[in-house]
Amino acid sequence: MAAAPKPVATEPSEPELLDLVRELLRELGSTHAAESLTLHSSFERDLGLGSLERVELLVRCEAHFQTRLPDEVAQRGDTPAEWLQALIEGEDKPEEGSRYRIEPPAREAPPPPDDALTMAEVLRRQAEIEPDRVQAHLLEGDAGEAITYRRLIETASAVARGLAGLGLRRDETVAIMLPTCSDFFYAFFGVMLGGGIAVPIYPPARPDKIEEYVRRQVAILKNAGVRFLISFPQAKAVTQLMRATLPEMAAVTSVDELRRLGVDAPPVVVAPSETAFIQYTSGSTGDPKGVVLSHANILANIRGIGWAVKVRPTDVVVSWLPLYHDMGLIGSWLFSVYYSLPITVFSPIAFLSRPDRWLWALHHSRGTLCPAPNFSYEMCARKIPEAALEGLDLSAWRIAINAGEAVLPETLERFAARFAPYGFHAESFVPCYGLAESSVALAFPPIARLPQIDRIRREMFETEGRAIPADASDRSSLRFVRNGRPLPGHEIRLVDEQGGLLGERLQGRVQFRGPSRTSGYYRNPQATAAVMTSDGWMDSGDLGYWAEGEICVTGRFKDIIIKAGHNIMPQEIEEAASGVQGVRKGCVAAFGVRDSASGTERVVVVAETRATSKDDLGRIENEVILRVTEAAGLPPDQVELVPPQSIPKTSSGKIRRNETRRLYESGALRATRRAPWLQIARLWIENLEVYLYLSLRRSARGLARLYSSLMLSALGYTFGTFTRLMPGLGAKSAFTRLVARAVLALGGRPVTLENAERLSRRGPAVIIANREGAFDPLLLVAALPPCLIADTAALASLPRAASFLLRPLAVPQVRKSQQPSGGMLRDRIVQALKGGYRVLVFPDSAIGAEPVLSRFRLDAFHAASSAGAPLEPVGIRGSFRSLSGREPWATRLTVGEPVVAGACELRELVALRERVRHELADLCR
Amino acid sequence: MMDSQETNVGRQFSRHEILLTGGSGFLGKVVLGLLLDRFPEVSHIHFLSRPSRDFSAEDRFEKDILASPALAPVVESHGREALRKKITVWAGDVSKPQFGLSARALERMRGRAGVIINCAGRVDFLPPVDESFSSNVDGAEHAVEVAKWLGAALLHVSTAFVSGKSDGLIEETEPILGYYPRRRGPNDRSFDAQEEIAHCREQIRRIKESSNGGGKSTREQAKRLIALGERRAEHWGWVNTYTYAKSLGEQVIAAETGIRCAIVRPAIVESALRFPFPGWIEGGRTAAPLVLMALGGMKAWPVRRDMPLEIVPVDLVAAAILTVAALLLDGRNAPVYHLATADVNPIHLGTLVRWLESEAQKRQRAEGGRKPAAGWFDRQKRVRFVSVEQARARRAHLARRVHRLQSILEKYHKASVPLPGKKALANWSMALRTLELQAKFREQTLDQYLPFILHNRYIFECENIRAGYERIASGDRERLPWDPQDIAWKDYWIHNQVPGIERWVQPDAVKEWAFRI
Repeated sequence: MAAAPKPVATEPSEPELLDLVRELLRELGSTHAAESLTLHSSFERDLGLGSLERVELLVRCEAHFQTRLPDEVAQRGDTPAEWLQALIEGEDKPEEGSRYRIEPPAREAPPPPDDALTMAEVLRRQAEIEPDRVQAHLLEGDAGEAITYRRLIETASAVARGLAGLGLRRDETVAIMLPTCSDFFYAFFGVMLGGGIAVPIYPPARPDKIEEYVRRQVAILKNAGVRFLISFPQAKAVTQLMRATLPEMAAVTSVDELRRLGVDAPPVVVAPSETAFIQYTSGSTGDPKGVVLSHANILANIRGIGWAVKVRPTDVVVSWLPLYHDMGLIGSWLFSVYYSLPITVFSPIAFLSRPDRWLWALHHSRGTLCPAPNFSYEMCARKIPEAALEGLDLSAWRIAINAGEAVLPETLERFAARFAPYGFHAESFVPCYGLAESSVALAFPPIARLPQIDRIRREMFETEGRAIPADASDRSSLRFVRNGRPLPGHEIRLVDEQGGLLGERLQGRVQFRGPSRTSGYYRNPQATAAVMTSDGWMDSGDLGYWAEGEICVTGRFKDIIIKAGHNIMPQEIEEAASGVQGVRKGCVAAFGVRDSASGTERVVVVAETRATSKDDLGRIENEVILRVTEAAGLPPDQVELVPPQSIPKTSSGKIRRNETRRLYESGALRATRRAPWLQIARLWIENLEVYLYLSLRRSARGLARLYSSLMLSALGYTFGTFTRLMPGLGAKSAFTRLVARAVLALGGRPVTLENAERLSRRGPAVIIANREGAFDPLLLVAALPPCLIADTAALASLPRAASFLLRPLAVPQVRKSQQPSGGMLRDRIVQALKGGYRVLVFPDSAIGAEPVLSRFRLDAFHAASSAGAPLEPVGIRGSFRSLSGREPWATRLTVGEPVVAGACELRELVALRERVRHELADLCR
Repeated sequence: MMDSQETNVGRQFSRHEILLTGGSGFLGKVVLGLLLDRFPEVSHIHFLSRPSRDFSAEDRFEKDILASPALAPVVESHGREALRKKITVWAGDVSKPQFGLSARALERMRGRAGVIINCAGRVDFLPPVDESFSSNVDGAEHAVEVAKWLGAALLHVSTAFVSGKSDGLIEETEPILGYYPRRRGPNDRSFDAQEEIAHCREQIRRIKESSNGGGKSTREQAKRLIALGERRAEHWGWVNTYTYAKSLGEQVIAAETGIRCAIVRPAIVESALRFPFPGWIEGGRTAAPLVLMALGGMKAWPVRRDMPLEIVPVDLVAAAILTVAALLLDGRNAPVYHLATADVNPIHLGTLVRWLESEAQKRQRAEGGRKPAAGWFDRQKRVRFVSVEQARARRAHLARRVHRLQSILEKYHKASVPLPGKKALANWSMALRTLELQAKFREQTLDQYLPFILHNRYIFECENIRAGYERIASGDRERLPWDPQDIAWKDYWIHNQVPGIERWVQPDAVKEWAFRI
């Protein structure tokens, strides 16, 4: 970047810096902090200055001292002392060449994987086609990191194996709480490759908002039933807090840890209809709603966007959007993975602290595709000094998507006008419409067209909802941007209150359907039912009208203010109030409050301001009233001026109007915020009970485990040895049965035997069971009359002590002289049956397999038929994996109808096996 | 079993002529040899041979088959001329419609050939999918076509591993049609072989077209085709392209109701137990690479100790195939025959690896205690069973050390001043390079074998072949022994398999591998 010309700079000194900090603190309302300020106060801990406030401080310092702080210090320096040192040392002049260079790809992107069914498959294929192609350039200040497809898939696979090692099962949810960093990429695909469902959530950024933060995340994690949380090691303090209220969470871990934990697990293949990840809407209302997105949804959306922007193999994506949310995640990153386009990524904080960094990233990577919400264009148009733009070239930028919040025509005009000298074409603007429920995008205008702005008559629109075109001269007219047509395969319709279809130029609720549409909100059938119609349409909650076949989105249905029959868009009031000198841009919330006295709604405007003096406040209030009246045609009923950071916002910076209303109504809006340490302390006290309960339970479980293993070893080894000394199989089996019963009784694992009367009273029989858990042989030996075990292979999964106990029950080997064919299993069973014993047979298939898929050797059937013994199926349900644990504890064994085997003909044996297998499946149903 | 009459194998073969495909393969040669050796009464054998660029079908037969050690005992005892009279060689190729047979050949065999024994198949685990399809799927389709035309029965040799990913017993009675390894139960009808074949062929066509248009190299195209097969196999749960294509081939045959057919599924086919002589083996698609690695001093094994290795000696397979062919001619066959050993006589990998280790040590001692080249890297004395991760980490570590050493050596070598010992260092450098290649090769090889030694535990049910043996005449049982229960594994591995591999596999195959690296 070009260095600013250096006028007479004030020499940085301690009192001056502290004055600047103190001024800011006073404006923020922290008078107490301002008084106790020293050179070594921590910005975060002692002063409660979060990243955004520090950005403000940074701008002021740099303006005051006419210098630039190094990024490293600006973002991480935690005390005024550190800043002062950096200021004294002087300007941060990045050496030319020390900056991370974004190499353009050597080759054009290969054709996209049209037939891929899942995102994991997309990644695997890109990694196969060109493993060394750079997927992402991750920028951090002047440094950067290139991530190739090979690295992405290898590290993600290691994460997947780590999760498998922690016991992740298919379709369990894994929360990812990471800022923009390479670990996020690995974690996200790691969860996908491991068969889990990723739940990306907002990482904690500001300590003073920790209380709200934790509450919001807990609601999300609870709703998602999260089993694992992947975060950065430093976040452990917060994550421990969260864990206290989430007993079902199994582990909090990090990517580094997972990479070390890997076990070997076969890759998981998922169907396209299965959930890829859950996206919690940044929507501010009520409980969090998790939008369930399948692989098919995401791929359909990405393909739709690709079609709409006519993606080229030479395209380059640039994004500073948060990775945990739709536009940054699907619209930028996954999109670039799918089309193998290189993407340049940096964090939203980096963008907010120096908006010009975004434009320079576009310049350096010759970016062609970049989505961003409206406010960022506004920020660039207003906040960047001319000097920081010297040499900037934006001519490669062909698709500037503006989406994610209401697109304001003024912003487009301002931005286009300011950056035209830098090569920006106004035709590059693509104002489109989308929402998380439709993966990300829903409607796109044609590309390479100037944004079409619809000018309509205010009065007709506000009273009747009719969007009648207005003359250019009509000063009071409303302007909306046309958002184009639905993506291919998607449909949009507009309906009125009664659900009747609306035609051209009538405002109604936007409903949509198509392959990108979510199947609903995760574990929230009420919320899902509220927005889904019986015929497959989903209500977006947005309002819009058709203008020559293109959709114009006018606002959110829920936010609308209705005063005396007038429908008022809150955005409009907010924009008007923002224009007032002294009001913070974009920090205004307008909403309606029902007023029983007048029978209609009161319009309330809450605006943030740094002004503190009475005079200033009075002036601002008057001006807000004036501007709002001008813009909306009626004066607001109340104007509330609050200090900065009072209005709650979503993670992407949108105003949370309903939340503001709630705060306003409860009178909490004006209350001063508590110090961070106090909030943490309160949380701790609240959680103390849960902590106590959990730690008690944990130690109880540990004790239980110790007890059961000791008990099993004591009984198993002692009596197992004893049994080996006993003569005769009959005595052995009867005695072992007693010991097994004792083990289960002492372990607190009751077993019930149903239909016991179906078992033959005495004499030989073959008992065939399914295999549900590791302990099944022990269970059967305990519950059934004395019996032998046909194949000791079935004991391999038991703990050693138990297998030692049961081993003497194995059907004995046939003596050499008697065996016609090498002592096959069949002959051994026949011999046992002839001796009048019951023989227990287990399937030779994976433990826990569906009973209908269990595999049995024919030997048992053959032996039963040749010895004339009945086959008695026993179904096992609810068996456990360990003697002490939380899995099912009451096991039920059900005896089925005995089957008497006929002839030994192979075909009949096979039929018999099939019959017994189905009988078992029925018993286990 | 309780049938009144017995099938007389010799009589069946003397009444019907036999068409043999894939006779130049490892298994095919033994089938041919065993047939000629044990049944001199066989009426006639038609031998399908693919002419190469330089040799005609006839020449190839003379050169590759009759001169092969597999047929040496037969040629010796029966005489070359007598054999040639029994055999007609036809030029053809299973991947071509009607096996590419001439009209004359088809006319000659029509009504006379009673059974086609189809041993042909491409056995590479992960080849480009179109190549695997052309021999394993197209081959099956053409076999059906030819069988119909000739009015012959079809004996199709597949592989037991068509069962795909699995843990435990594989039943022979599993229905063939609609099978895929991830199937969730008997009512799961989501797989249709014809649809899958059509889908895959369409993808192949698209890949080939796009490559032709874009002027991409054939190497790139092959890579995409390899990936396609891997992906489709993985999608449904097969462990590699080979088993995927074989299963599709089976389903093509099973869907055909107009012919009599039997499918024979051997496990991993290994060196001969008795015929043509103990230890005969050929080609690398066996457990040979594992044995070579063990003898080369490999210590860290990513295997599951309690897992049986499903292998079966080649002469047992050949005997079983001939028995099934006779049963098929007599109309008394079962639809599927597994040919494996673990259900009656399992050999566990843990035991096997230790045997091989002690054999390797014995050889080292016999060589006068000289340590192998890699000795000073491999400090571990005993074999260890490790996870794949551990094994990979060890190899990466080794590779790093080798690299560091090499770079040091190189610097020394490039030094402008004449330094002492440069020549010795060059030799060291060579040795390091070899070591590096060896490690890489081991890793690649092991990866291909992991499905069979770590990921899946297989036990194949072999009831049908046992029942089948009870239906043939007792004299035939002795002529075509099927006795996996009596194999003394230690003896077999140390005295048949290991020397066999060293003698017959190592020279050619290793050269080929080295070339590939």
